[in-house]
Amino acid sequence: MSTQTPAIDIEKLRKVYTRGKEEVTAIQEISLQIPEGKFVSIVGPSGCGKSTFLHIVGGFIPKSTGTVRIRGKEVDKPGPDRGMMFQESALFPWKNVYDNVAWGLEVQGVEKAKRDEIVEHYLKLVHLWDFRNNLPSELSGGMKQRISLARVLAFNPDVLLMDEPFGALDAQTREKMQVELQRIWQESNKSVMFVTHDIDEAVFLSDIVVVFSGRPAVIKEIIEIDFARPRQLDVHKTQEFMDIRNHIWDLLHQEHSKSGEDEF
Amino acid sequence: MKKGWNIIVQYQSLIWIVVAWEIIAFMQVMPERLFPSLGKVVVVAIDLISSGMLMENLPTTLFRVFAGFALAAVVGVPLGLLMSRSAKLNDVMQPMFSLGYPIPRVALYPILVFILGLGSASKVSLIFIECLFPIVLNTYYGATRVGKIYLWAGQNMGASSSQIFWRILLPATMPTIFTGLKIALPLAFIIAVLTEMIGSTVGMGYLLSYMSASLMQEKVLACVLLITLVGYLLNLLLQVIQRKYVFWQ
Ligand SMILES: Nc1ncnc2c1ncn2[C@@H]1O[C@H](COP(=O)(O)OP(=O)(O)O)[C@@H](O)[C@H]1O
Ligand SMILES: [Mg+2]
Repeated sequence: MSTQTPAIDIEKLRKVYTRGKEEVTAIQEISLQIPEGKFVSIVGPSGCGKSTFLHIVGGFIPKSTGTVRIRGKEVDKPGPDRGMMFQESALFPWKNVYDNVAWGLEVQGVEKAKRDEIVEHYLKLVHLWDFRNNLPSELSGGMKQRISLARVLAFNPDVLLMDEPFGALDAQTREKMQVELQRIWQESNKSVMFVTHDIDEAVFLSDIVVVFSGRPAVIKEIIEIDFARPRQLDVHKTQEFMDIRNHIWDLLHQEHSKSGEDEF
Repeated sequence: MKKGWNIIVQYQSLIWIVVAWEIIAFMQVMPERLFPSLGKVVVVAIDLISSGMLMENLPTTLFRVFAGFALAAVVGVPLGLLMSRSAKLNDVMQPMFSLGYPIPRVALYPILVFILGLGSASKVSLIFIECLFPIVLNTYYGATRVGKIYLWAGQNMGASSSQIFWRILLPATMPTIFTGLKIALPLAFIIAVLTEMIGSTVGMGYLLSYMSASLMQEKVLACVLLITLVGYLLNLLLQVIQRKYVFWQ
C-alpha cells in the first residue's frame, strides 16, 4: 500500500438539508486530508455541522456534492471500515454488555471461539470485563461510553469516528476517559476523527485540531499539536498548551461575535 | 403484611361490589331467582367444572382465541414493521387501517358466516381481523419511533437489511408490540364468546346462551364468572411473556 494515501480524504464536501421547501446549508465546502494513524479533533460552535460531517463520513446520510475516501476507497454507505461512536449511546438496551460487543462480530460471521477471544480482549481493555453480564441500563454514562468504544474496536475498523463521546460526562470522568482513550488509541494505531466542543479536550487528545466556522461550516484553521505522547493531564498547565487553547478560543469567539448568535 | 394490605386497597372496588351484592341478595330486594347470592354462584361454577361441562367447551374457545390471535400477530407484527420501513407500502396499507379502525368489524360476521359457515373458520377469521388492527397500528407506531442510531449502529457493524429488521428493529419495537398484543388478546376472547353465543354448538359463548335458556340466573352468572376468570388468566399469561421478552424496560 502506498504510504501517500491518506486515511481519510475529503474533497469539496457540501451538505444541504431540505426540509419541505426550506433549505439549510449545513456544510458550505470542506476539503481535508488526514494521514494514517492520526488523532484529529473537530471543534466548532454547536449547530455548525459537526455531527452532519461525521455522519456523512460514516455513510449514514447522503452528501450533496463532493467525495469521501477512506484509504483511497470512495464511500457512500456505512461499513465496518469506519467505526462510529454516536453522540448518544447506541448500545442495544435488550442485549447485555457482552452480547452488545459480540453483535457486530456475530453478524459478520466470526466463529464463536474467535468472537469470545476478541470480546474478552476489548472488554478487558476498557476495564469492564466484570460487567459483561449487565444490561446497558445498569451502567453509568462513562461505563456505557467505554462499552460503546469496545464494541466499535471489536470489529476492527480502520478509522474511528467519535461524535462528542464524552459530552454528557462530568469533568472528572471526562478527564479519566480522555487519558484512557489516548492509551487505547496508542495501542490500536487507528486514525481517529473526534468531534467535541470542548477546546481543552481537543488540544489534549489531538495531533491535529480542525476548527470549523459557524453554520454553514467551512474550515477556519488546521492546527498541529505535537506534545510528546503519552500526554499526562498536567500538560494542561504548560504555557504552550494555554497558548494553543487561547488561540482556538479566539477563533471560535470571533465566530460568535461575527454571526451575532448566542449559542451558549 | 404491608404488601397484602396494598393488594386489598388496590382491588377494593371489587370487594365493595361483592359486599354490596351479598347485602342485596341477603335482604332479598329482588327474587332470589334473579339475584342469587354469590356463594350459590360459586357452588354452581364449581359444579360446571366438576361435571366436565367447562372442559367440553373451554378448549374450543381457547383454540379459536389463540388461532385468531396468533395469526394476527404473525401477520401484523412484520406488516407493521415493514410499513415503518417502506413509505410505499405504508401509503397503500395505512388508509385501510386508519379508516377501518373505527368501523365495528363485528358487522362482518354475517358475511364471514355466509362464506365460511358457523364453525371455527368464520370465528377465527373475525378474531384475526379484529386483532390485526391494534397489532399493526401499535407495531407501526412503535417502529417509526425506534431511534435511528440503533439501525445505524447495525449498519455500521456490517449487518444485512434482514439482520437489521429482525435483530434490531423487531426487539427495539417489542415494548409497543406488546401494547398492541395486550389490546388484541381481550378482543380475541370477547369476539370468540360473542360469536359462539350467536350460533354455535360448542364453546364458552354457547355454554352461556345454553345456561340462559335455563332461566336460572345463578347458572348464567356462574358461566360469566368462569369466562371472566379465563380472560383474566389469559391476560396474566401475556404479562408473564412480556416480562420475559421486554425485561430491559
Ligand atoms: N435532518 C436534518 N434536517 C434538516 N436540518 C438538519 C438536520 N440535521 C441537522 N440539521 C441542521 O444542520 C445544522 C448542523 O447540525 P449538526 O450537524 O447536528 O451540528 P453540530 O453537531 O455541530 O451541533 C443545524 O442547523 C441543524 O439544525
Ligand atoms: Mg452534534
